[in-house]
Amino acid sequence: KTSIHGFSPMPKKKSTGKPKPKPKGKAAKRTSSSSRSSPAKQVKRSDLDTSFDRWKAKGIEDGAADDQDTLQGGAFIALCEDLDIDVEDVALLVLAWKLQACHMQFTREDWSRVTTLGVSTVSDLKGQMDGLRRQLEQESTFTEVYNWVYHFARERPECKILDLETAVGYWQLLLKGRWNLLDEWCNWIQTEWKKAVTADVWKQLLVFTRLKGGLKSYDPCGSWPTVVDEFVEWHEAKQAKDAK
Amino acid sequence: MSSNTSTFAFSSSGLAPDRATAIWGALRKAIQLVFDGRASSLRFEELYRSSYSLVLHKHGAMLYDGTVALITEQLKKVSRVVVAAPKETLLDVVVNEWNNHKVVMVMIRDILMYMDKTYCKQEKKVPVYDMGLLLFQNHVVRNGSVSIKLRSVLLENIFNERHGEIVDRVLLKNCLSMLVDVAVYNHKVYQQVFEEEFLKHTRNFYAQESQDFISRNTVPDYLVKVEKRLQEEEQRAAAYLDKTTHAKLKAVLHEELIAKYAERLVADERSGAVPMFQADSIANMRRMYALFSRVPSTLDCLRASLGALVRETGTNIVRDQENVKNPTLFVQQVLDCRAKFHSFVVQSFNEDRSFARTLKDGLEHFINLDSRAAQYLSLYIDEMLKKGLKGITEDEVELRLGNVMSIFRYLQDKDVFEDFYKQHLAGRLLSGQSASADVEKAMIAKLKAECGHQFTSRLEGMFKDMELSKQVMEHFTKWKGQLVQSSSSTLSSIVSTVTMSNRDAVAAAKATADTELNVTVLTTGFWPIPVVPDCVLPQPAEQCAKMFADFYMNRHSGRRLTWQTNLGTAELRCKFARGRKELVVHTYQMCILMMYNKGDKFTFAELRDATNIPDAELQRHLLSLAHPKIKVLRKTPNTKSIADDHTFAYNMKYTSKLFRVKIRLLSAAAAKVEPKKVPASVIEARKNRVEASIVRVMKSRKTLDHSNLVAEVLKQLTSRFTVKPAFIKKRIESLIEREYLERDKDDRRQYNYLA
Repeated sequence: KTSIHGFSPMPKKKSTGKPKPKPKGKAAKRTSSSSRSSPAKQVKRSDLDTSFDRWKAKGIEDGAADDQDTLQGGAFIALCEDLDIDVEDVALLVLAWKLQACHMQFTREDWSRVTTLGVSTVSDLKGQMDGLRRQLEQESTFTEVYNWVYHFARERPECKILDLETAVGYWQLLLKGRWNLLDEWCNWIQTEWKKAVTADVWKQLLVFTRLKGGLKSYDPCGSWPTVVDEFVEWHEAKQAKDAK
Repeated sequence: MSSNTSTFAFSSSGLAPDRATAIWGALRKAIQLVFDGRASSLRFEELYRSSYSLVLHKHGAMLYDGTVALITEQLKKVSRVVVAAPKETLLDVVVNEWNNHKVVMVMIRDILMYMDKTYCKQEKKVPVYDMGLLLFQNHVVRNGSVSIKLRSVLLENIFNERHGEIVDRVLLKNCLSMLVDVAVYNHKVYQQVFEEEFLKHTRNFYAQESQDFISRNTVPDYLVKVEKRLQEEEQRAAAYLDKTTHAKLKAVLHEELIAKYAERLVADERSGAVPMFQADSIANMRRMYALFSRVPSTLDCLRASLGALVRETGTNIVRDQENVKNPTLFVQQVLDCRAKFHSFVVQSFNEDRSFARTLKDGLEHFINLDSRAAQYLSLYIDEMLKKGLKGITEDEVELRLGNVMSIFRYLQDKDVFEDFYKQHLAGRLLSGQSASADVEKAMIAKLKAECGHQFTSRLEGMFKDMELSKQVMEHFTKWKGQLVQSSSSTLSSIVSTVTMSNRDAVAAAKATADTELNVTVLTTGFWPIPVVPDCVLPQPAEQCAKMFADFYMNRHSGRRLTWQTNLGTAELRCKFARGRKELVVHTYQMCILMMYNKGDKFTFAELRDATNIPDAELQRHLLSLAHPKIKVLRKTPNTKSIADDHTFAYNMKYTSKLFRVKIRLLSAAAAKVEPKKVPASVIEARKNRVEASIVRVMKSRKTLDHSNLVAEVLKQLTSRFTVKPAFIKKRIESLIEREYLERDKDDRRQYNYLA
């Protein structure tokens, strides 16, 4: 089973609790971000930098293109291993949002923003994972992360819309437990509507899940996207049918 | 006041009681004389002064009470007379006594006027005249059986009059006004004694009469009777009923005669509203409308009946199978339907607005039942213009166009009509079938006046194209002619306008000298013509085409010419065994036939490859040529279907009575226009128009909420076509995606314009 990120996860290794040994001898690559750092942190920063290199190498091993200075594909698997999180953990998405990363990749520039979390090593970052998860409990943060996922999930920058399968995967990931109609929505949109998802639809869906009063207070003449209108119509028809 | 020699001397200090009594006694006698009708022997002044002095000396009470007693006595006598009167003369007697009494009372009032003005006022007593009336009321009218008898006589009279007998109206009037006056100008007595019963009586009378009549007569007859009865009653009321009764009587009549039966009258199957409409009984309907107007609520069911009938008639027209095949018939029937009901509205319903609107709604309903109406309307004009306008006067033409426009106004989806009209017009122009350019232009002018110039800009463009093409052809022919006849000295000046070398130009011109070419240049946006792949033209045609293309491109650089090989005709001179013939054929057929300059027989596959004509068209054209009735080509095997290996041979033995033969083309399988659906091309056009409208609105408003935006857009488009709000919503979404609009960050119902 391929994960929503579109690559097959490596078998999950049990967390041993020991931090990965810092590779010695690898010179820290001088990047624009590290040149901005204060001298005191320079040495420690290289841990994050070198980890980035390591993961990138793993990614290239797995088949990613090697012409860009980014983490993609298999690199994420390595990243998640080091952070001791599942590939499908929402914490990863929160991290992506914090890093302002798009198109299913972490550029080195994105990665340099990891310091805003107040970490200097990978093990620090690992300890932050719980904190990241908990940030989603705040409604406004959740909204921002949710909206950001649309940018992150579109693999090709030139493609302005998100393909349906990926969208459904992320909806399942983000909205599980937060919306009672999630499964119905995912089913319906894949079997009946079958088109790709625009940014507007993505954003409006979250608003829709938070609609107070549920479907009864839904206004079909309101400014909801037509896909939502059709979903509500279908849902009502189904309920009428089930009631019989 | 000066005293004079009179027997009634008085002193200023007062009147002795016995003096007063004496005076009163004298007065009493005088009054009695008045009662007896012997007032002429009395002297008014004396009497007046007597009463004056009595009142002055504070004997007003005696005077007043005494008078009252007197009158009462008198009236008791009167009432005995009245009671004793038999029915036949009761009214006479009563009125007589009443008149007498009034006269008496006037006299008494005059005599006692001073008392009225001073004593009565001070003591707040009823003035003497009015008192007299009240007394009459109490002692005569209300005397036991008098009122009852009176009532019954009155009602009997009225009953008889209603049955056509003549009664003494003056008498009745006087009697009734007595009843009013007798209560000192209020109507209580009148109402109690007469009016209440009268109304009840009337109601019963007409309830009975109407029921009887209606069950035995037709609706129009009933209406006539009601009209008559109403007139009668109005006359009667004016003649002798008190004014206050008029309105109440009317109410009763309207209810019993009209309101009660309104629905039944309208719904009556044999002679009700529907049969009246169908039989064009304008006068009857007018009467019905006039009567119903008296009770406005009854107009509702009449109006509903009109609406239902219009819809039913119209729906039948739309569904009629005959009309499906014959557009002219359809349009004519719709026009007739409209004219028929319109004349009712004008002549019977007095141009009542609500009725006019009901008619309009009904017409709109069935005309828009399916999009065939739009199509047929266009076909109607098409036929009219194709078949020619011989024998039809200009006025008649104007009338017909006007009729067409009146139906056009009822169309909801005007752009569907535009689409069809475009197609038909294109057909007419290109095949030269239009009988009169003037009429065409008149029609377009009318459409423009109705819908604005945007609607007709493309149609006008088509006309312009035709005219321009003619001019271009003239220049081309002249130019070509010059080339052919050119001498070398004039060559360079002519040829410099074209991008060919001198020699090529002349060669081309000479080579194509005996091929006549006629080109019509069409502007792509105006004409509803699909794009077709180029077919391979035979050599002479190809040369001509190239020549023209070069000529044209030079005059108008920056334009692109594409040959529409699916249109156009060619005239071929063909050699047959029995002589030459001229065949008028379609372009594709020309390509096919010219092949036979190179060989006698070809397979279908060969023809296809050589000419590059699309399959379906190739089949159609080949079959037309190989058709048993035509047989310019011989098909082996001689079946209707075509396979790749079927062969077509040139038929040298072809004959025809005519020298110039027009080869008829088998009609293409007509694109099935689903009657209910709007054609796809129109839907596409609508999408664009809606989007343009949304952008226009948003550009001017900068920010607007969803429901207002939808409302504005609908308003802008409603004159052209109707769409559902959901359609507009989809367009909004599309525009959001393309970043023409955005949702407001704070209010998700709000949209902002993105410049």
